[in-house]
Amino acid sequence: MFNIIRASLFKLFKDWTFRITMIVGLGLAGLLIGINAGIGQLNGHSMFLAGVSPSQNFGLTVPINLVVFTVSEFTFGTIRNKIIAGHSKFKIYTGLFLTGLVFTFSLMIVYLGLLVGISSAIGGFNAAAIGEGRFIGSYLAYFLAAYVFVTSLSVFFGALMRNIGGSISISVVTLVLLGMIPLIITLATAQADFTPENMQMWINPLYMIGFYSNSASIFNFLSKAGADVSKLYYQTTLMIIAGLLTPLYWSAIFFLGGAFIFSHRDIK
Amino acid sequence: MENYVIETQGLTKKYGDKLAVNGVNMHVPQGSVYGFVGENGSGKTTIMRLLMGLAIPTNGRYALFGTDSKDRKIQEVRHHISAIVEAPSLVPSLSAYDNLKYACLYYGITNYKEVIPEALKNVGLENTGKKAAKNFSLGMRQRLGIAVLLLNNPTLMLLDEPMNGLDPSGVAELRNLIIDLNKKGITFIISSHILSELEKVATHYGFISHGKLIKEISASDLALECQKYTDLKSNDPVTLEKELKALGYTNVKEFPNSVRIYDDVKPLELLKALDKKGIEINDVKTSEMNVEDYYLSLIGGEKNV
Repeated sequence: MFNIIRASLFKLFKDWTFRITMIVGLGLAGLLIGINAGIGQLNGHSMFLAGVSPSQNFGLTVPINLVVFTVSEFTFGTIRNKIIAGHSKFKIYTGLFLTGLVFTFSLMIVYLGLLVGISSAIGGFNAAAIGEGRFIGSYLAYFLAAYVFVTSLSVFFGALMRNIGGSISISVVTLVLLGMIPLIITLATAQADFTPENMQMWINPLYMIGFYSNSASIFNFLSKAGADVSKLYYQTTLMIIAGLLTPLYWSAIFFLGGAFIFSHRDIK
Repeated sequence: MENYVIETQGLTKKYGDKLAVNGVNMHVPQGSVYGFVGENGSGKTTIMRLLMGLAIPTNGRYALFGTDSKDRKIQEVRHHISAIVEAPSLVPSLSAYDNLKYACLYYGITNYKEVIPEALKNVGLENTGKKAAKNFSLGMRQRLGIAVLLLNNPTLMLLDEPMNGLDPSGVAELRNLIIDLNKKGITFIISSHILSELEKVATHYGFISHGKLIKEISASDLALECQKYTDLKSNDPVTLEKELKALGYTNVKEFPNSVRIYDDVKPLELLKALDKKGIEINDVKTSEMNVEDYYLSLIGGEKNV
């Protein structure tokens, strides 16, 4: 397993797509810092909120890059070499997933670290309220959990469809559907005491990083820039659990499902 | 008793309703160069994919170095096997060195700094520098693919159409490499359409048609079977075959427009005898069979290819 991950990471770090995405990330961080410094609102807190907002970080570029990376293993045929070399399909799939996580997290950590680090050094962190630590911690955890899910989903479709266009389309459609399912269920059952909002929390893996919106998740994911920050401080324990558990159980479903299907399919 | 590195029992693979591999019982002796001969779509590549774990058999089983395919230890056994199935699997954006380093990492080879320059030298790619594999010629990619295969010191190599796209010097280089490696004890399974080349290296053959392994034979036995034969062209091969048998020829085979006699023939005497019986012969040709002829005779002529 270690050998597979080392090999995949080597390939990843040599990959121009990854390098360009990292450079774009650094550029984007610099741009955001520049704009906020220009309007005199530069501080670590606001840059943190901007950084974890999917509309102001990499958003859909993460699943797109992951799908491209995963599918390339099939189009180049390098996945065949790993099987021929005697690695089990489960280990190979796990290696793809873990490499995807390294890709996602290194991108986000570099981006968020630069954004918050530089802006805090220039304008201070500007903690807004009591409970800031809990808020920042929980939000960072939602953010990381949400991207574990995005990685799991992207690797699942990339490895199973082995086609870049199709995999990207179905990944996006799935993200939309996961946001719409609670709404559809509610409309279908019309249960007044089971609102779309609390159902979303347990079904939509991107809900908690979508800043408490009633709209479907993909629209938060793509366009929700601002945050009703005051609301964020009123998180119940149940909300925190849902914020972490929902993306993680979805991640587990896609990871285990993907590994099972991959292990029982022929490799072309 | 011969020691087999690969043995299959009723190996079968179905894709939907299509039977790609049909109950194949294959035996690859240790130290052999096993030439896999068959028409396009006959199932050669599918069998290789099954043996390499890339495809899952619908039925039957196989053993690699005596380890059954359903045994968990099969993954360990695969560490000693290398294969190029369909085309060398390379990362196009990486240089030859980086492609080998990538392979070293998943093989778990730690001393790659010593291994890679040697491997590049062995296949004549030591001066390719940072040139990406996507800019290599087909022959260079094939050689790089072979270098990847050799990294883990395999004892069995499966090569699917390795001579495809190679120029004559590339073919000769590859042939010599196979012969050298075989002398060092590596067993090969090679499928190729260039049967004249296969004849130069193969010690054993497996002939496959429509998913069925129709014959396995050693190269020495094949040479005996590819003895001299005489082809008689006729508009009525059915009657001709009957009359030839009546004349005492026992080893006779009918083809669409001819009949082949494997027995010793004196052409003039035979023509006279047939003339007496009123059988018209359009042409007589005496020759020896090569692997291609042998394969065609096995499957009953070109009409069945």
